[in-house]
Order: sequence, then C-alpha cells, then structure tokens
Amino acid sequence: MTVEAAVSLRKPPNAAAISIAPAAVLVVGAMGIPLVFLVAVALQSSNAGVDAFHQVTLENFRRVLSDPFVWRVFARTFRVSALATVIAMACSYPVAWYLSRASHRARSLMFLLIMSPLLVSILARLQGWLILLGPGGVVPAVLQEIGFAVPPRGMIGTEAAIVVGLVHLVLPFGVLNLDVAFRNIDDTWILAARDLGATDSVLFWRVLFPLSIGGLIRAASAAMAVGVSIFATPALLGAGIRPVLSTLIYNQGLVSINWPAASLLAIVLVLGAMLLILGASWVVSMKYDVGWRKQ
Amino acid sequence: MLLEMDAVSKQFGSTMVLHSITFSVAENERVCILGPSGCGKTTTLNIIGGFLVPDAGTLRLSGRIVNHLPAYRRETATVFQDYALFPHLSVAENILFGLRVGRVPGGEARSRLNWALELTRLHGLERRYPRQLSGGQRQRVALARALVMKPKLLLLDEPLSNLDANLRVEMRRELLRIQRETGIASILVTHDQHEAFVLAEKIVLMERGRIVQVGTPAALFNAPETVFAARFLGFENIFRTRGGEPSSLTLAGLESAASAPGAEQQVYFGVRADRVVLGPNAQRCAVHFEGVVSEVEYTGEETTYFVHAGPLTIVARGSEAIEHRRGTRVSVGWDPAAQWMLRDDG
Repeated sequence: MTVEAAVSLRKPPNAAAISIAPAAVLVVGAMGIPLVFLVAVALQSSNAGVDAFHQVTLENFRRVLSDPFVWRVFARTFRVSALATVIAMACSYPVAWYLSRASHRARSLMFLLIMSPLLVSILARLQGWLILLGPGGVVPAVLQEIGFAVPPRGMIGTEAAIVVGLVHLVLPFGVLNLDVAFRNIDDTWILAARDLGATDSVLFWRVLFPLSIGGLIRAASAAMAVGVSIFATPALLGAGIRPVLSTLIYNQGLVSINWPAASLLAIVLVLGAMLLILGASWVVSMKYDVGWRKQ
Repeated sequence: MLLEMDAVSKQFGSTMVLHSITFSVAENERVCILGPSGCGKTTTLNIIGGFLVPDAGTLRLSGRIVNHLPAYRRETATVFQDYALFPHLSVAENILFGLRVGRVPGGEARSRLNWALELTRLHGLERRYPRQLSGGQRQRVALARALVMKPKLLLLDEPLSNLDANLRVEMRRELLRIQRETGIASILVTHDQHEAFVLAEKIVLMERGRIVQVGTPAALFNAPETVFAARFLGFENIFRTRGGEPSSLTLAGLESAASAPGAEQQVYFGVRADRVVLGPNAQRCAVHFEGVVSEVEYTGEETTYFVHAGPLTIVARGSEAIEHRRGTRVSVGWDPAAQWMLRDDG
C-alpha cells in the first residue's frame, strides 16, 4: 500500500474513541461503579452503607473467610459445577462432532434443537425438573424400583439434582464451543491419518482429541463459569438445604441483610469466574491454539 | 504391472464423473494424470488411494483386486494437495506417525526417519511444527511422511499448486530427484502441462471423466489426437474445413473450430504457432492468406502475433523482436506439412 493510500484510509483519530464510547459508558456505569461499591461495602464491618467509606477494616474478611460453613459452600459450588461441566463435555463432545460434520440442512436443524432450551424461561425448565425429580416424580420412582432409598421429597435438595439442572443448563454452551473447535479440524487430516494406517482409536486419540483440547478447555471454562454463577438452578433444585455461592450471596444480602458478607462473597464469585475464563484462554493461546488453523 | 485400472467408473449422485477409465502403471514408472479442473483426475487418484470405491470396473495393485481395500492396507501413500500435515505434531512426529501406528520397532523407525529426512533435505527441522515451515518445507515433510511408509506407488495430488512460481520450479526438480533416487512408481495429478511433461514418463490426458489420450510427453506434444488434446497441449491454431481436403484451403472454406458445429463432414486440423510464417515469405507457402495484425505480445524471449484473416484469428510466434506493428496488413501462411489432423471429440 502506498503512503498516500494509508493516510487517506485512516479515520480521524477520535473516531475509535467515539465508536466505543456508548459501550464504555455502559460497562463503567453498570459494572465498574457497582464493583467499586461492592469492594467498599466488603471493607465494612456492618451495614454502614455508602456514607461509611472511611471505616475501612478487614474484620469482615476475617469473619467470613474463617467460617467453615462458607468453605463448605465454596467446595460444594466447585464440586457441583465441575461435575456438571465434566458430564456436559462428555455428552456434548459426540453431538458437536456430528454437528460439525453434518450437511448444511442437518446443521440448521440440529442448531435449532440445541438452542431451543435457551429460548424457554429457566424457571419453566426448572419446573420440569422439579416434577421429574420431585416427590412422586419419574426419576425417584425408577430409583426406588431398582433398590435405592429415596427420601419423601424425592431428589430435590440433593447435589445430584443440582448437577442434573446444571448439566441441562450448560450443555448448549458445550456443544457450540466444541463445534467451533471441530470445524477447524480439516477432513484431509483424517484422510491422511487413515492413509498412514490409523484405526478408529488411533485416529481419535492421536489426531482428533489432541486437536480438540483447545476447544474443550474453552467450552469447559465457559460452562464452569456459568455453573458457579447461576442462581435459579441451585436455588430451586437445592431447595435451600444445599447452598452454593450464589444462593449464599442472596441469603446474606437479602435475607440476613449482611451486606459486607454478601459483597465479599460476590467479589469471590466474580473474581473466580473471571480467573477461570482468563486462565483458560491463556492456557489455550499458549499451548493449544497457535497456528492450528490451516495457513 | 504394478497398477491396472480396468474400465473403472464412478458416479456422484446422478453425475457420471468417471467413464470407464483404463490405464496401467508399471514398476518404477512415473505417470501424470493431466487435465483441466473437474476432469475427474483427483477422483481417479482417490479411487487408487483407497478413499473412494469405484462403482464399476476393477482396480488391481500388484495383480490383486483392491476395489474395496481400505487406504491403509494398500501399498500406496498419498501426498495431499494441501499437505494435510498434523498441526499438533512436529516434523519428526509427522513423519513417524505411520510407523508408530504400524508398530515399526524403534530402531528401524529411527533409521527410516533419518533416511526420509536425508532424502528430502529436512535435517535440522525435525523439531519444528508445520506452522513454522515454509510452503516448500511443508511439501517436503508431506513427501517424507509418505515415502517413509515405503509404498510401492506414490500418489501426488497437485503437489506443487500451493507454491509460488519460483518455488514450483525448484520443487519440481526436487520431486524428480527424489523419484529418481527412490525409483518409486508414482501417479501425479496436475493441470499444469509443464509439470506433467517434466515429471512424467507417461501422461494420461483426461477430459470430462474420460481418458482422451495416453502417451509419452513427446507423443502427446507432437501427435495430439483430438481437438481437446491439441488445444490443451498448446496448439493455438485449430481450424476446420467444411468437407473438402485441407490441402486445397481457401479462406472461405475455413472456420475457427470454436464456432458452432455446422456441416456434417468436418475435418479438423491444427497448426503450431511457431510453424506459421508471417510477411513476404508467407506468399511462398502453399497455404497463405492476407490479414491484419490485431494484437502483438512481446515477452522478450518471443513475440506472438494475432492476425485476423477473414473469419480466422491466426496465432504466429517467433523469437525475433517485433517486426509487424498492430494494424498493419501482413501475409500469413504455412506449409501443409505443418497441418496436424485432429479427431473431433464432441
């Protein structure tokens, strides 16, 4: 490109600033400022509100983080969402593979089917699970039939119920993320592997799986971030007796009216989810993504 | 015969892509399948490689019918058009892939790896990944990965088409050297006449799913049998006469072969551009016309003239600098011995 062309194509210097301004105002106003308040409130020892910015103390941190109950909640939050993520990845992996290799028509149809749960209100979907898993539901009845001891309230209020709800929730994210990864796997790599003698298992473990690790990490981190953050699923399926981080924040903030504790836990949640996503994309970009697409 | 393809046909949906393809490859023979895009040459290669099953006909490798034998059980190895190197494996791991899958013992695998690296001049690049290689280096890795399997027949699908012009000539020489050193039989698919002529001992010329002509490069160049073959191999002047003998040509009796089919009795012939005579000397030729130079192309090495004479555009080429300017009247002619009779292939 000639120098003249480069100059004439360049936009006025403030064009970029103007074009991102609305988004920037929204992000700073709706996310940044509340986050500052969140930190400020977390540094209080009681519900002092915004006029107590100067009373900065770590007393709240000590109190909340030394409570073994809080650590049990952290552990449960991690456990249920990690388990749900693993199950969702295992279930979406083959689906995403067929989706990525399907004809154009079949793809459109599969997309519609995969996305359809997202078009239904989460409360309607949870109501479905409450019926299936609750007292007199199909699942407890079957479990009882094959010899499991099922409490009168059915499976509601168990970690298993929360995991089931979370798997249902994050499955589409898993399929869509893995589909992107699989579509970057070229068919001629498969032909080449076959030509060189690869059996199905060699093809999978030596070629397809290694090439999908990046997509798997991305998909899993997205699913995990949704899993630890979501409120409605653990609130309804956990029935208040299996608190996770999000339901604990709700309780501290709106039931116990302990804003410093709720703020601190909210910060933990936001940071945790952010670290998860950033960490995963860093790992992928460092080790699993560079130049994988065909040049 | 190493490979015998006998009346092989293939259909995709309702489209016949291969019509009764028959040809053979001897041990150590270098064969090129040459043809324009969509002529079925890659489909033919994929059938030989074991990636497609023929609908009819038989395919024999070393005398054994292999129509349904999967790719990895054939004594063939394919170099794919875009190389298909595994991006997550290093050069050495790519080359060793087939040996590891085939459980070739470590010591032998290492010596075969070294042999392949030596042959393709890739030493020092073993630890690189495909994304860190140039186009030519990737091509070498793809070759090494196929050769290390010690196939009896090497299949190359447009191996040079992804390289830029200079590199293509260089890799063409490399490919020829490697094939000579290994003595391996090969089938190379290309749409490039020069590539086919340099690399092949035998050329299979294809058009629209059929074999048009099989022969040595010289046989094809000097004696094309059909209008398509002549045009594809660089006969720029292809004419037809209505009825009469082409030895007594008049301008009125000639038309360009490109025009719509007309009378029943058509005789096609071609004249090479370098056999066409321009200027006063043309009047001494048995066949000559008066025309006007409509365009001149000068490349430095040669000059090409396009001469309008009646309904014809006659192409003449010479090694001299420009002698006839655009728009000047000029005599154009040729010796009847330069006329090569062609069969119309519809």
